[in-house]
Amino acid sequence: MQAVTGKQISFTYEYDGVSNPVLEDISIEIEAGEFIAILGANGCGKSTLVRLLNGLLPLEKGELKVWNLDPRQESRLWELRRLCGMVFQNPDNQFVSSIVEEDVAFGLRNYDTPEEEIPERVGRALSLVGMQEYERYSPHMLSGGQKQRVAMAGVLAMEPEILIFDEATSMLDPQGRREVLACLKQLHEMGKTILMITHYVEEVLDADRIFLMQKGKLLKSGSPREILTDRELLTQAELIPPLAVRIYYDLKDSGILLDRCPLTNEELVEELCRLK
Amino acid sequence: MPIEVKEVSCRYGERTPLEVQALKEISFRAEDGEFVGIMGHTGCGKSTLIQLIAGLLTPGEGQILIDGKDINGPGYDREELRRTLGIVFQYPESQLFETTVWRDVAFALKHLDLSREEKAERVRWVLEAVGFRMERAGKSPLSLSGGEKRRVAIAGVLAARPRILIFDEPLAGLDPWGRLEFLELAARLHRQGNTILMVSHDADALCGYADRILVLDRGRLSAQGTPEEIFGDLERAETLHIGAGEVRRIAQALYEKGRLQSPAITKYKILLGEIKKNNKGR
Ligand SMILES: Nc1ncnc2c1ncn2[C@@H]1O[C@H](COP(=O)(O)OP(=O)(O)OP(=O)(O)O)[C@@H](O)[C@H]1O
Ligand SMILES: [Mg+2]
Repeated sequence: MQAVTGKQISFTYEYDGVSNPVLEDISIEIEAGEFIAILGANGCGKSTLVRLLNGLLPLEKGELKVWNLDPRQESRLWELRRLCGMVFQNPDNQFVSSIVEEDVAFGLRNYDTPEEEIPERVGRALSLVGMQEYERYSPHMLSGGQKQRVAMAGVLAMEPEILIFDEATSMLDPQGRREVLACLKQLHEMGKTILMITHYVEEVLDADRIFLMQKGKLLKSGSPREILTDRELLTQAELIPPLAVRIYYDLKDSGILLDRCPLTNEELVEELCRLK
Repeated sequence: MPIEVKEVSCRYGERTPLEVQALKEISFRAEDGEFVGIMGHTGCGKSTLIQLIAGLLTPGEGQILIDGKDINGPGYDREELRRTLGIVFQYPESQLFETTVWRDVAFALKHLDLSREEKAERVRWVLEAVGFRMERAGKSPLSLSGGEKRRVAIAGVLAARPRILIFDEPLAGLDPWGRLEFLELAARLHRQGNTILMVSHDADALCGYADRILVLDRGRLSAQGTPEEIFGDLERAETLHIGAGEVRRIAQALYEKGRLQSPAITKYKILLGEIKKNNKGR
């Protein structure tokens, strides 16, 4: 089944009477259950693209189908937002309540979920992210990674099919980052469709596919290995390859050739050890 | 202008049930022209510490001296602090408030004795330095992407050329080039004699650029030293609750396989140089 089908999507921001074309002729297909990472330089249109998917921005040009919904169909916008939940960058301004469980229940109440169903759904969402013991806590007592997991639970309580992470790890310490990524992986294994925007290449090694964007266009979509070991392609996208790939090319430039271009640090070490 | 932090403690929510001890008996000195990195996991007190140094919070106990003067002492000239010290906060979007990017950056120059042309020159220089394209300076900060906002916020602080620069997680939200450009810019300012304090979770970045790293752990200063001292022993770094960077971890793996003489390498260039040296002619 197709989770997202987009054809020739373009988008222009109108601001103060100036128009700023931001997305140009983007076509994408995402299978249900896929884990897609979106990479691209600052301002290339990543956030804009995912905001179109869940109806935070209005689709103007092109065709888009998210699950079985057309984002243009305003009467079903609520359903779209439930189906396609988003977690943002800042762990501190995603809270609306001073108690974790209330916060997770907020969306459910907004959607008029019967009151008797709420505790169970909140409990289930919190245990999915490993935060069930914190239901009575105040969010400000949590670490960054815990806050982001509570934000994830708020989205999960709505039982979405698609989860979008817009730099959800970028404010976190390594520990918090690992927590959120582990959660994300687990949701992927459960069959959820995942879209993740990040500036950290080492976070996207497990993605099924990478969408590489540049200046409002989809430059290429492909496996992490295909995209991340291609120095020229990354340079064109104004990005820097992962460390192992950088070392590979820097060695190559000085006449030391490894058998193949490693993607991970483990592969790099393996390749270096093979050198006689 | 050394920064001296003496026996500083700080509590939030004092005399309430929610009282937390954010910092406990912190002492250190940052010399003139030093680049000091600050690490530690979420909630360990890093942001509190730099807000204290910037004079935005007052310590419950202890003193903060800049240039030998207690910044919370009676008769201290706060204007002087504002002139000498610039701070970029963790969420810089909250620092942008003017109607255009240009005005936002120029605002920092308001109180400086510069001609119109000099001010314009300064704004151009600093926007270019942070990689923000001039032709977009007429835009509203509200219409920028996350990474673009961060670049503008950094520019706004650098424009006035304060001698002490404090950055709280300046790399978050920047793309890889943006991160590198920012670090190179910080290195340049460092070479020109500015004192830099930078909070970051990015061990590779701090190891590559900072002279010294301070580690905070649950409100206490648990270690300080050069990058090599802090990350030389990985088990010790673990007990400090900070993760080593990728460079250090690759060096460790290569060392364990007998491919490096020493594992205590924390800088990319040095790692690359060692690998090259060991594989010359292969
Ligand atoms: N509300 C807005 N009004 C006008 N222009 C906007 C608005 N939001 C973003 N833009 C512009 O659209 C372009 C794409 O922005 P977007 O936020 O999608 O980028 P991004 O890829 O997410 O970047 P980043 O990595 O910095 O988060 C940028 O040039 C930005 O200046
Ligand atoms: Mg964005």
